[in-house]
Amino acid sequence: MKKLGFLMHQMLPNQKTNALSINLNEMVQKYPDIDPILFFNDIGMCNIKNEFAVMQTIEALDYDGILIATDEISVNMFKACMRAKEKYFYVWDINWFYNPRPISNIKSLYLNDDVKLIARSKSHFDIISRVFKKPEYIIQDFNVDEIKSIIYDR
Amino acid sequence: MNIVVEHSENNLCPFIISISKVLNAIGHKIIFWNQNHKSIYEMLEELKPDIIIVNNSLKPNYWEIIKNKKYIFYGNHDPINKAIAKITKTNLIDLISYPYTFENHIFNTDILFSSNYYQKERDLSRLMDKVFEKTDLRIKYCGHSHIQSPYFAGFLETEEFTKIALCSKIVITTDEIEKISLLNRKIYAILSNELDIEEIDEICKNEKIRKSKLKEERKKIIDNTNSIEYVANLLENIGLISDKERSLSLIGNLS
Repeated sequence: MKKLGFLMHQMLPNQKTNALSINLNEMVQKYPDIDPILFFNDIGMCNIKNEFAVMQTIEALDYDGILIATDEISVNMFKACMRAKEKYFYVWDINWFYNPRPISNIKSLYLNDDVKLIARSKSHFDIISRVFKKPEYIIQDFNVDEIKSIIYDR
Repeated sequence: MNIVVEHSENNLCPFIISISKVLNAIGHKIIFWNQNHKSIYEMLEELKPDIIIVNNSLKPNYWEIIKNKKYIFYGNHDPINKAIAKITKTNLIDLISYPYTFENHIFNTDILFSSNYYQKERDLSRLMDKVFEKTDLRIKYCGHSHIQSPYFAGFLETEEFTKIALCSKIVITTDEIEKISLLNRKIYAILSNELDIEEIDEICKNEKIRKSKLKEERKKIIDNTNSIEYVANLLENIGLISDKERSLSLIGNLS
């Protein structure tokens, strides 16, 4: 069984949570050899019924699969996830543009050598590669067929 | 002789390690002093140093006290240090130039746009948009002011800005004085109104070659400067070692 974990700070009824839930539900059906888990800090509320495992973030600290953070708060938790095979940051939005901060803060999120980046679109890919570092993948809205390439490319 | 070495950073630089080994081997007493833990007055009273070794991280108000003592100055060979050496009238040796540079590769950038003196009324975004269209270079805006662009990487203090500028091939600024200041630090700086977009690729290419040459030269100088023999020669020149041959035989086993 291939382990794939997603970290999300808060599950809210928004486009990101919906896209992730739909695609993880599809993953469970389509790729039975992949075991996806969603780790959350605050379960909030979600419009879509989950058919995959959902756990509190504390469980991710000892997780030994591939971890994908979906927001900046989750990336900061990566420091404590010592056993993760690989760490990715799925850059859903260009947050540094909406919320400008000192570069020392941004550095640990987008320029961390241990964390590989995933861009959401070609235009995001261009911006991230110019300002920070080249993302490893372009995956549109957590597309399940593209996400599986992270596991099978290894 | 009591020799006090000011060192407030965590890691000792190779130059200080070499100089301490030589002085220790020929019987001098080496004491490290952290200016953040103990003031210069306490240090002078307690340790009664014959010579103090300082670098450019010394607190500015301590220079007035140090300049009346015997001291060795080492640091970056840049205009600021030259100015310090001039003001403080070094009495033991004019200047030991210890060339070290800060390079933070994670910030490697082709074009860095300084927002330190950016004024919103000057609409530069059109110019930069052209640069983005024209090239696929790594570009970012950084500095004191916020620029409404996804290429704005974050706010920076002046000191940090210089460190990032050192890792950039070209720095584009809107301020004449900032340009001169950067050029003095051997950073290719250009005013935004002087920028020729057609030549930008060529400039980046040339800067890459120049920087790699500079890096090789610096490495050679640093390797030489850190050698025990260089330090022994230096100390002989300033009169700390009287018999070089004897000293070298004493320290022969060090390296």
